[in-house]
Amino acid sequence: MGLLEDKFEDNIIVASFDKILSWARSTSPWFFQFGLACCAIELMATGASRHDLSRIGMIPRSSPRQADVMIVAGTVTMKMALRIKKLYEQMADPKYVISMGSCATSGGPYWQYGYHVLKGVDIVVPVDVYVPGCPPRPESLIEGLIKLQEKILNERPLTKKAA
Amino acid sequence: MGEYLQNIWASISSSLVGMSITLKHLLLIRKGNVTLQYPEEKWPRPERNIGFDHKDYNVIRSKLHVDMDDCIGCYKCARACPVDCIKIETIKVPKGTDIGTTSNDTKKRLLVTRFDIDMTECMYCNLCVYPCPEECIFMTGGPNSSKHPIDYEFSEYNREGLMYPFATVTQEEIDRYTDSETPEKPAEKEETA
Repeated sequence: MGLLEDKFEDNIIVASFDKILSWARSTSPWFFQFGLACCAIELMATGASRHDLSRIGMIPRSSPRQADVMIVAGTVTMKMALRIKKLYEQMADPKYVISMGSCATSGGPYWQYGYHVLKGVDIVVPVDVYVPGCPPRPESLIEGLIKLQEKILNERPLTKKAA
Repeated sequence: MGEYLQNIWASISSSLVGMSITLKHLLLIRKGNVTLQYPEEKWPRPERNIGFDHKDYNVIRSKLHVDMDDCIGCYKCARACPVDCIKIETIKVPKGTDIGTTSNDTKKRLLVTRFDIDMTECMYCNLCVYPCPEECIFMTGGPNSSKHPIDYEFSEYNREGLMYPFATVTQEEIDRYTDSETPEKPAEKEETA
């Protein structure tokens, strides 16, 4: 969308195209599997048939090039932070990040003495939704994803932003 | 030729068998499925047998809540917290001043000026719940579920939104108790948790 994004004045055609675009984006945010620790177990449970993420249009992808949402699930170590940054940059726009669980959000139990843990994944990548929990229940994760969908739905990708 | 027709029939009949199962699931969608239709319905909390009576022990993993009317500022929860996510600051009030009693009829002696719980650091271990002498810090749901219904979905767009300040003391009250005429004990006592 780099060619068309933020290029048009606000009028009735652009506004309706905006609505269609953001609706299409919000109802099919394919997520990038990024399980790092115990939160990945809950992420798997959310994807399985009991909670069924496909219900809200989310399909797991294993390649960053095919994904729209990166769910950072688990403890981000200093070594992994570099890889997260690299994989985030490989994702195609528009891209979103969900920080799942205490560890990814702020370091969690390691926030004080964890010499090897990144104190919050928002240091390396911009995070859209923070899901609390240690680990979050599948319901909490789905609630966070629904919040992300609301955020995407309210975006106006084509319209020029007021400077 | 006969084998050719047989293959055609096998392909049609096998897909019909498969589609009939799909149709059956479509018709019985609310009866036989296992999927939780999450925003519309939620599962009740499972009654686990943990060796204690479930009513007495709050072992739920949900949002922490503090009833500030009952808090006496004893730091017991902050000391019990293994990850130090509870931050408390208190001010000692001058002798003889009455700042109320708790629901257990314990006299309050400290003014709690700061009671922050950072839910991004919490690891939901419930260890702060047990030592509280006034039973004012607890996870929502559990024994207090009539007052505070269970709440475990509270994701936020900003990280600051997950920091919950519970202190209700106003600046005016702090000024009243620190700038009093009694010169012997006006000092602010602060302990970092």
